[in-house]
Amino acid sequence: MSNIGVLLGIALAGIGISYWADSLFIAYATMLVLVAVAAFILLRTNQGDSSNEDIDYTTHTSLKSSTEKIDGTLSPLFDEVDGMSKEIRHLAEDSSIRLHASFQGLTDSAKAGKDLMMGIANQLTPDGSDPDNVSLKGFAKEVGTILDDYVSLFVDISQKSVQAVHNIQDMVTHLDGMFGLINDIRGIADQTNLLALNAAIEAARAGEAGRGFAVVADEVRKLSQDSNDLNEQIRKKAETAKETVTNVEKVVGEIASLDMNIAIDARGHLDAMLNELESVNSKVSESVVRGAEIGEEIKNEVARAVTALQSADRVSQFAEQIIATTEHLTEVLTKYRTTITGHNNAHAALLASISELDNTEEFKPALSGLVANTGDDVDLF
Amino acid sequence: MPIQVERSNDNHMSVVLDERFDFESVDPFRRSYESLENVRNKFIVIDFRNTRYIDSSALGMLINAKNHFDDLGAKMKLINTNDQIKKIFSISRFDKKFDIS
Repeated sequence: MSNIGVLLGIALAGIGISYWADSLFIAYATMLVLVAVAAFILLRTNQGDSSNEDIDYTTHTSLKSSTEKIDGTLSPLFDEVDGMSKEIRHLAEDSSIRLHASFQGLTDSAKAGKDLMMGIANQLTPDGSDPDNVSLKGFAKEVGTILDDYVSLFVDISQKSVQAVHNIQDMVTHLDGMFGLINDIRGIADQTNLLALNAAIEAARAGEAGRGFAVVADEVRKLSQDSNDLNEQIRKKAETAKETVTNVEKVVGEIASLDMNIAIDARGHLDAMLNELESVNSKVSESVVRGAEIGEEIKNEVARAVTALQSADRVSQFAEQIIATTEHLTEVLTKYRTTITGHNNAHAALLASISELDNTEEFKPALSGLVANTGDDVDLF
Repeated sequence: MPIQVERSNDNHMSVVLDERFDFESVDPFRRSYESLENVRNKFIVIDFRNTRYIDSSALGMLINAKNHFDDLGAKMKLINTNDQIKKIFSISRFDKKFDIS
């Protein structure tokens, strides 16, 4: 009777361990071992009584009731294991299909992203094979050349303007010379006037004989006055010419004297802009290339993940095996119970049943394989 | 201070510019350098030590002066240029045409 107690204790401990164990596999393995141990203890107990051909009725009844108890405890557990295994198989298959689809989508997206990045990278750093492909760098360089041309143009203008100013000043010098000559002419005219005046006085002193000479002297004085008037007109015209030329000089001066600081600022801004552009450009190029690399990496990772997904198939295979083994265990249990309850010689039947159990090896490798693989590859997900 | 002409020795003649070297200087500058005689194979130094501001007409004046001295077989140098003036010379590529320091 004490053996039955031990059996019950072991069974209950087994149930406890089963609930305690995190892993379904460990629970399952524990139960399997417990069944074997229970069977072994029963066998040993009955072997000790084997000399006695008549099994005690009380012992038989007790064995039956214990068996029913064990059966009553284990059967729902087997059903639970079976249900859970089926659920695992279903979940594993379902998520495997969905993950495959999602990874396919991810691969496509990564490829599209990479192509886009490569397109941008090519656009940013053209190799010159496409003449229509104007890069920012090329544009900035062009602007720089235009600015250089512009500066050189206005250096040229300035040089020619200064040359013109020199010529104008030479002309003013000549005009000033002309004013000297005009003054000389005026002096001659004044002297002529004076001479004519003297001649008139002398003519008056000569009396009647000088009358004709007085007329000539008067004409000469008139001529000198006309000459002075003309001289004055020339002087005025020359002055107007000088004024005009001076105005031209002023205009030319305005053309020639541009504030170079504007050009310096423009050049400075352009250079800063070019540098900024260049650095932005190279940063963007780098990032884009890196982006393309990341796209490639994602693709590779997805490929690896898809490979790892094959482990999910193994999970569902294991679930399949668990279902099969559980069914087998249930069968063994049923057979054992039937043997105990439906047979008069429970002991002999039990022996036969256990030897049959020993010979049934088919599910053992599945179990050991299962345990060995529990920690393997699964963490890839 | 107006533009001044200095003769340090027989081989060096300097034209020392005013604080501003712009369109106002066209006539005095020309008179200064044209007043130099016997310049063949000599160095003519345009000294910017007092000069703070130049405009584009300065560039025209310098080119005209250079043409003048080239015709006479003299060499022209620009010295004591400040940073801002150096920048102007650099932008207008004068650093390629002139000896600047």
